[in-house]
Amino acid sequence: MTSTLRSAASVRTGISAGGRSGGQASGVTRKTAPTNRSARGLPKLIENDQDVTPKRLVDPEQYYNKVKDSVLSNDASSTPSETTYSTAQPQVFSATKSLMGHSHGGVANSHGTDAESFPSDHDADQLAQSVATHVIEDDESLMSMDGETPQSLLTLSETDTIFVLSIDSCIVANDATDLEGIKKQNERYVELCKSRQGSDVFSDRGMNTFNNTVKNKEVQCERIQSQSREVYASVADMYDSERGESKIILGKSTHDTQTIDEPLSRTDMTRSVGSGVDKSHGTRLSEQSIDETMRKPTIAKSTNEQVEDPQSFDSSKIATSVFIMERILNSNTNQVKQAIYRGLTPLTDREEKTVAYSGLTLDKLFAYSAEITNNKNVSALSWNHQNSDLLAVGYGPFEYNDQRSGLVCCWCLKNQDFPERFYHTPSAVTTVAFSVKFPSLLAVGLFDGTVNVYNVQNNIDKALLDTEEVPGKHTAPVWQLYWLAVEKSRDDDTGEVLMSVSTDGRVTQWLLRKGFESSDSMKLKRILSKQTIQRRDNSKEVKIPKSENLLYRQSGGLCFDVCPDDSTIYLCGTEEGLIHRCSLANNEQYLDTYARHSGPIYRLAWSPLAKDVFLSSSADWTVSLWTTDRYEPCITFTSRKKPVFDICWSPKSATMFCCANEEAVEVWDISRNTLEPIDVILTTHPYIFTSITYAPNSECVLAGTNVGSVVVYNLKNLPAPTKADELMEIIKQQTHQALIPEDPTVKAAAAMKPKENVPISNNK
Amino acid sequence: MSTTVPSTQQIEVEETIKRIQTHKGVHGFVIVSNDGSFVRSTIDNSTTMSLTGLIRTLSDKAKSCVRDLDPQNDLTFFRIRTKKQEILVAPDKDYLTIVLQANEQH
Repeated sequence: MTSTLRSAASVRTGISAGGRSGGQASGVTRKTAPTNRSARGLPKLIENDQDVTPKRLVDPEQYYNKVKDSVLSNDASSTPSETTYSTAQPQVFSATKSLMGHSHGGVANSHGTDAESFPSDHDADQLAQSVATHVIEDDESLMSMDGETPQSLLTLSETDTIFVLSIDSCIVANDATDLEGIKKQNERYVELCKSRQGSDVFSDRGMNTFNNTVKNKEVQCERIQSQSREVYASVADMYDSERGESKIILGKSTHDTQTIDEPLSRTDMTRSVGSGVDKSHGTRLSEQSIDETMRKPTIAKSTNEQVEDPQSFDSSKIATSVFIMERILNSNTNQVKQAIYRGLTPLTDREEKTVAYSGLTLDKLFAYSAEITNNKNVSALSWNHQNSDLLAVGYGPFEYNDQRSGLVCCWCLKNQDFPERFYHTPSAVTTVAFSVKFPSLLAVGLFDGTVNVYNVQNNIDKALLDTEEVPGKHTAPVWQLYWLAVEKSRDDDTGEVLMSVSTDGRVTQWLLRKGFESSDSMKLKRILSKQTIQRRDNSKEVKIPKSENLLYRQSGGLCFDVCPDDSTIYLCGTEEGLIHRCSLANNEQYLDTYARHSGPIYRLAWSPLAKDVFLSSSADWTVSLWTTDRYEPCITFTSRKKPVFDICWSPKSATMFCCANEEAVEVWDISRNTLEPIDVILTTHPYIFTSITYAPNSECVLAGTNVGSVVVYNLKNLPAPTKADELMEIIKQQTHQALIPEDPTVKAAAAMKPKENVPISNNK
Repeated sequence: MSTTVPSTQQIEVEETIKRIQTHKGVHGFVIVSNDGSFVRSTIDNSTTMSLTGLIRTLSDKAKSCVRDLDPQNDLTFFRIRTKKQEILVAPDKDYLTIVLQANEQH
């Protein structure tokens, strides 16, 4: 390959010297070569489907015609090297000519004599000869090449250095044999050099390499676009990426930068910012300047996206945010009231008009009321044992003829307008009770006798458990429920039983076995604790021997309360107005019976602070205070001519309690006044109070009405809480007073009670 | 439109949203998704646009502030109380909820 090129180069140089018609005869075989040659072309250099073969500077056709008849010699091989390095100048050729003159013999034109006169001709001839040689060589090589593929890959490489003339000097020792001859030669040479200047023998020649013509080729690459991006990694970013939760997506934006287009770049940026949603906030900080541009493009974008978004908007994703939002809104609106509830001094901008009132007052704060509870009678209230802000309210009418489906709501202080949980029940709710051991369990007693247990962790209407299918279920309304902690009889017991009392005359214990985890295989089993409530003759104080009472009816129980000191003792109130003290160990007999009330007992309450003291409220308009050792009430409270639905001891003060009449909420303080309540709230609207309870963590009283709202009253100016012994003192006083006049007085007092018209006092 | 039957949770959330909108003092309610388009809004378009753009940057700043102090912490809610109103913002993973409530007059 290399030789081919060289010969091609030499062809070029030869051509540049100029052409001269006429040639010398060449060998037969070789003669045909030039003719063939013209038909063929030189190897083409194809690059990128373009013919980039360097074009000839001179048309070879002309030249070969001149060269056709040139004579070839064997020494042609030596000439190529010389002619390659010869220049276009005629002077050169004369030098080469002189050399060629030596090597060639029998050349048609005489060269030696016409040194100067016909330089061009001789030169051309010589050159033609040499070129012809080369040409033929070329032809040969080209012929061989033509047998191969027409396309060829040309590789240009640097050749080795070719020494044209190399005469090395040598050093001879002084005692060499031919020293004299060498010295003479050297002297002669020096002489020759000196005479060289003006001598005719020598003439100067210049040598020059060809300046090949250059061809310019321009290359242009695609515009390289660059974009700078900066990212700021905050502490949070580093934390996230360390935990593998990194949300930085840079891929999107770099893709976007490929389309650099002024109007488009903005949308690209917004898209990248948009995709930077998932980027952590740290990276977004560096792109804040883009937000101004964000406004305009997003207008166009949002119209597109809004069409899709409502389809894909899943509101459950923002459930938490919305929940918090509602609570905050509520706290904004009701901040003052909530602060009062909590016992904090509320922030007020202006001075409150202080009424100089030193007595206890009840101040209405707010009411738990919502649309779904409208016109529903509040029948039961129960506080959660773990979260004392959580109140369970049962809704259901007391009367038989007004049967509707019932409702249980769980209210929280933080939201007064809507309950946290609400469960619809198939029939009216009569009682609710939160479990002590498992604070998320709520037991609900219904008018039709079933007991449902709900899990307040979720808002499913379906009860977790119910006694629908249980054979031992009540057949009459369940009026009271109580969770009682008992000792575990088996390993998988929960340690808690549910006690219920119902009009069918049974006080029943329910055991919840098989854990609370599984929801389908739970059964309510009833441990045998059946009680039959015997009817007793009111006038006889003596216990009737059993043998005489083989037949007895069951009277309906309306309420019961377990003694806080001794959990096996409990009190039960009946429809006839009897209060029985019973024991869990004995399910046949009562321990005691207290008969005083003339109407059904609606509520019994042991005093949480004093021992063996309890209150009873009844439909005969009275509330009675009893001690367990006396069969007569120590004190009886009456103030209105309305049945007392509910009573509640104050958890802090031993002598205070409040009761809910039909038409008023009354707060009594025995230490101050046993005849009158110390404060009364009258109902101003056409509703009645049906239930009452103290708030465990606040100085508030909550009263339920029959229109579905639970009103919260704040007790202001409370007197110092009294201790249990004070109560006992008072009781002693009362009983001593009562005892002194002996029986007749008591009887007279008892007989007089229903007719008494105690003046109604109004401390407002 | 979207799913055939909305789940109970979705129904509850929708009801809560309704209650929020009718709560005392509330005069604006916006839900924005994280890519800048708003999903719900009870105020006019231009106000919503400017509000969401500004609140978003503030929310990001607040969130990064909280998380830079303690990466395990996260921002759940913040309120801006101004002379005329109060802006309640609840940032979330996917959405941003904004409520405008008038200040209580005592």
